[in-house]
Amino acid sequence: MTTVSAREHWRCPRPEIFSIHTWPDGAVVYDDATGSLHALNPLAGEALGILQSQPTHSVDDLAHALGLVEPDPEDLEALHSLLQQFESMGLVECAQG
Amino acid sequence: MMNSSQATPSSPSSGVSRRRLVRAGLSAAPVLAALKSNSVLAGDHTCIRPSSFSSLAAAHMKVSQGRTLKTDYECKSHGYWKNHNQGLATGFKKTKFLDHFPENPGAAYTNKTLQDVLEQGGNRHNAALARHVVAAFLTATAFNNDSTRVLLTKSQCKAIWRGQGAWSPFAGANWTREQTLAYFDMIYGPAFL
Repeated sequence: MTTVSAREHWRCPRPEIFSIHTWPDGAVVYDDATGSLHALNPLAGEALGILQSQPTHSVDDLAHALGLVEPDPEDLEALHSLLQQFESMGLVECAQG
Repeated sequence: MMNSSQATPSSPSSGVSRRRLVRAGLSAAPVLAALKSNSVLAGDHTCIRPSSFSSLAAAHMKVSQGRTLKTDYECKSHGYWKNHNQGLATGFKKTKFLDHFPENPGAAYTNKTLQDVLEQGGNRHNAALARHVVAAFLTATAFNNDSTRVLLTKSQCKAIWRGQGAWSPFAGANWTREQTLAYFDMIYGPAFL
């Protein structure tokens, strides 16, 4: 049973401070506010790019944007974990409602 | 370069392979590596000594791996000292600037107290430098001129003003007024000028 709340909306609060560069085997994110660099796997880089380019996403919205037409609860759970990890890195934030 | 976010599966088989791809990506660790910034410049009020400032400036303000930097010297700004007296003798800020710092460019500091210098604006007759020097001097005074705690000692403050910003902060170094002001900019932030 998924614990993902449909009321959670995720967004990149300051998209202008991140530079994302993607390659077939990964992505690099530069955080201009802190000077930090993060190397991400291709899917994580793609997900962050979607969040950076568009206002807000529910986990379900993000799954569809990534090409999952009918995401399973497990897919949503895994995406939710990814978003929580991004949040702990200061890359995205979550708003309820 | 992958651009799969725009790929809408047009057949069941492409949908399945996309799902497999996404699941594979989600099952792997998303972060392969992280490199935190090693810049010492966390913002205004980075209290480092002139010698550290010099070596950091040469390294584009990056701290090399394994190097620890003391950044917590006492360095209260002129903005702070305008409104505080903590650690100072009563009336100390009302003493004459020239009693501590004899150089008097353009006779602009005649009869001015330390408080007057803290409050003056602009940069006529090196007023910006004067504000910083008085702030550093008051900090040194408030902390008993303890060279292990304060950013600049009283004698260093006097040396800075004596040279009107040109001074030798440590052996082998000679700073111009511009270099000294850049150092104070980094300590207190340019907004304080």
